[in-house]
Amino acid sequence: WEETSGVPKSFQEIHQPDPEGWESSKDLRSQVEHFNSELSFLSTLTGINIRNYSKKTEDLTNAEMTENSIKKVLQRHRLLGSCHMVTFQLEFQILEIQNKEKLSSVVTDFNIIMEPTEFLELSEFVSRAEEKRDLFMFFRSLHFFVKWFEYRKRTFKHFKVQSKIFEFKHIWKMKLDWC
Amino acid sequence: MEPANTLRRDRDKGGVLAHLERLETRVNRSHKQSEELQRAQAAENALGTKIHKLRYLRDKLRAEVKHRQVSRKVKASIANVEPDQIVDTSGKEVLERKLENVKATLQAYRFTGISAKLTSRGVCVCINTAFEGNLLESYFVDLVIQKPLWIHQHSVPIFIPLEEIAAKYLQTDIQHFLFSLCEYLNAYSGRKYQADRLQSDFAAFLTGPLQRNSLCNLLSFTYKLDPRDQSSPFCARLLYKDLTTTLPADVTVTYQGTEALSTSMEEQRASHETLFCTKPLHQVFASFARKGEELDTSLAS
Repeated sequence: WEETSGVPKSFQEIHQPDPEGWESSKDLRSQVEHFNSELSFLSTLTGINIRNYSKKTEDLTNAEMTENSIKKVLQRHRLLGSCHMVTFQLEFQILEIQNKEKLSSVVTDFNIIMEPTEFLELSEFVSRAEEKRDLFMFFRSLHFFVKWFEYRKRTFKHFKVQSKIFEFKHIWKMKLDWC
Repeated sequence: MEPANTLRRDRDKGGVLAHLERLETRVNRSHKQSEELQRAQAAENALGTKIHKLRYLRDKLRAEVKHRQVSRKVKASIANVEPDQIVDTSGKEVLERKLENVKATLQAYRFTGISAKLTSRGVCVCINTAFEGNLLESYFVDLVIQKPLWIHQHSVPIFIPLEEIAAKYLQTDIQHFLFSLCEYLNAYSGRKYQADRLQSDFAAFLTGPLQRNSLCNLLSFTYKLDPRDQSSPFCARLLYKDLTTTLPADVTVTYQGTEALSTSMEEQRASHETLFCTKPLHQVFASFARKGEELDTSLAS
């Protein structure tokens, strides 16, 4: 945005990609820049920083399925990321079945790899999310946990409390109730 | 100035002193007027100078913008001329790999439930929903980043309280707005999924059509554990008061028949009420189906 500092005709001009820029010339570098800024925006918005992601696809469609216009694909995903001070690695499988009417996508396996922590609550919701194969629940809970942790740190600092063990169970009950 | 005869009349009116007083007020008034005129003139001049200054600044900035655009074009054309085929093939490959990488990582964000694309006016956020490992519908909200933030378009169903949530959080905390909207949409998706599964997989148990509202938070149906059973069906009414939940808080199961309910039937009725409150709808019926199979096999053996 250093390029367009000045008096714009309308606010929209600030967000208009320069027509002479990446749209027409497809400059690799500016594309990478654009997607990088999208990435940092998402990271701020969700609170989750995805460092690495890879995916493998396996076609499980057999001859009989093809006859009935059914397609079956198994996806294996591996995701490495962090949320503040918590780093995690996720490995999950998604089975996609496409027939004439609809496409169904189901998480068939979900493994969460995290360093063992002193936070019992964190391990609790991690195993619950794994059990239910609920990806979104994992991310939501992680986000709330980190928020709670930051809040606790600030509160302790404010009251100059030094304690390794602190029960905050009632807040957890509230949050976990909707899981 | 006034004509001479008026002065003579005034003089006659109140004597010389009064006359002098009147002359004085007249002079003061005219002084005031000329002062005001001067002040207005000064203000006008000041504004005029300000206008000149602003015009000058504007022209300067316009020139600056043009200059930078030109220099960028020049730089870009230089870059194109640069023989990267000769020197920097590996550089291009590295960039291509980086591009693939960053695109893939962006794709991965949909597994967090929220992903987004930057648009020319702001950002288009995509909310993905799921229920117990089943990936369901996605909804989008197109936000324009201005003061105030506003929603340009969206695909959120009309019965989800989008305006309410936006009024509460959109201007102060986008994250909270999106997380709250996520909650409502995921819960709706989950309830809809349960109702759909009941209709498609366990229609054999239903003795009438499943009645549901668009929000899928009020369901009403009649069912029998054993379709061959001659007795009257049960009637269940499920109310999900909290729109962010996928389990009903208020369940009533009644017996449709006129005859009195046997103790075992009454036990069943009560246990069903509890079941519907604690387990997803289609799973309750799946357990009915399993029990039925067990019963059949034990009878057969």
